[in-house]
Amino acid sequence: MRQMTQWSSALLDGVRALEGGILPPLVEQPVLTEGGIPANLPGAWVGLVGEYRSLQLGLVAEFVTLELVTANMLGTSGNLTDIEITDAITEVVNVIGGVAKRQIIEIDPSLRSGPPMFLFGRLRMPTGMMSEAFRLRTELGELHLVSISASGDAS
Amino acid sequence: MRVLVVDDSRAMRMIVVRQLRQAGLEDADFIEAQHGLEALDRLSEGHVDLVLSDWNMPEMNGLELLRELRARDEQVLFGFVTSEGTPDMVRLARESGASFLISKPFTPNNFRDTLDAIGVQL
Repeated sequence: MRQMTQWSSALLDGVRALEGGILPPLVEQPVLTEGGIPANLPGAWVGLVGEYRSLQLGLVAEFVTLELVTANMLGTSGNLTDIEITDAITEVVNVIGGVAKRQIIEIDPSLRSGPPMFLFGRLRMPTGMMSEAFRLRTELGELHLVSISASGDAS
Repeated sequence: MRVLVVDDSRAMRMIVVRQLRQAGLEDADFIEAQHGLEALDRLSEGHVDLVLSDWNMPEMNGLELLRELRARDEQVLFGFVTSEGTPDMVRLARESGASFLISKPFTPNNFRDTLDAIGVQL
């Protein structure tokens, strides 16, 4: 198994900080999966960019799972609009990114968050970048936490 | 007590209000705004005791909102609730007149302890 990068470790701390709160409880430990970014799953992305470190962070899943996660987060059971779901999931990824940023900023004080976005398709991976994906099996379904960073930023 | 919650995420505004109620502000009157400019409109419509604001927002961010309020000599209690929270941002918030900065994710206990520390009656 590959060794976790600093980013992955910081991001998983972010997940743990949200687990049982705005994220549903995990039913198993996060699993680092092979095969890169899960294909064509919708989800929210946020960029963290600094002089020495940068990262695109995504939380992607089947849309029905994102809907269940949103309902759980908002404490609602009624029908949710796409806007409510994309808003909530974007906020989740923003908070995970924020937790990670507070750790990595010791290494790169220039690190800044970009505006988060929601994509209904796959984010194309730029050349020269590496990706990691963790499967997060929750009580409400499977989520994937994906990070894309420059190869030299990983360790 | 009248509390203004400012965040561009509706989901986060709902969560902040819910957790503030759980923290002891059950009877507070909550009003909401999506960004700093809208917050200024809400503030012009009536007295507000406490402003809880996100940092990164479109139109006018939380720091700009706080600075605008202080430039108008508006001394309403102001705190940030944000996914930011780096040492630089905490310093900027304090220097600009914020009473506190709570990093997301938060719990009702975070709110209770912080509001208690600044003398808000729960």
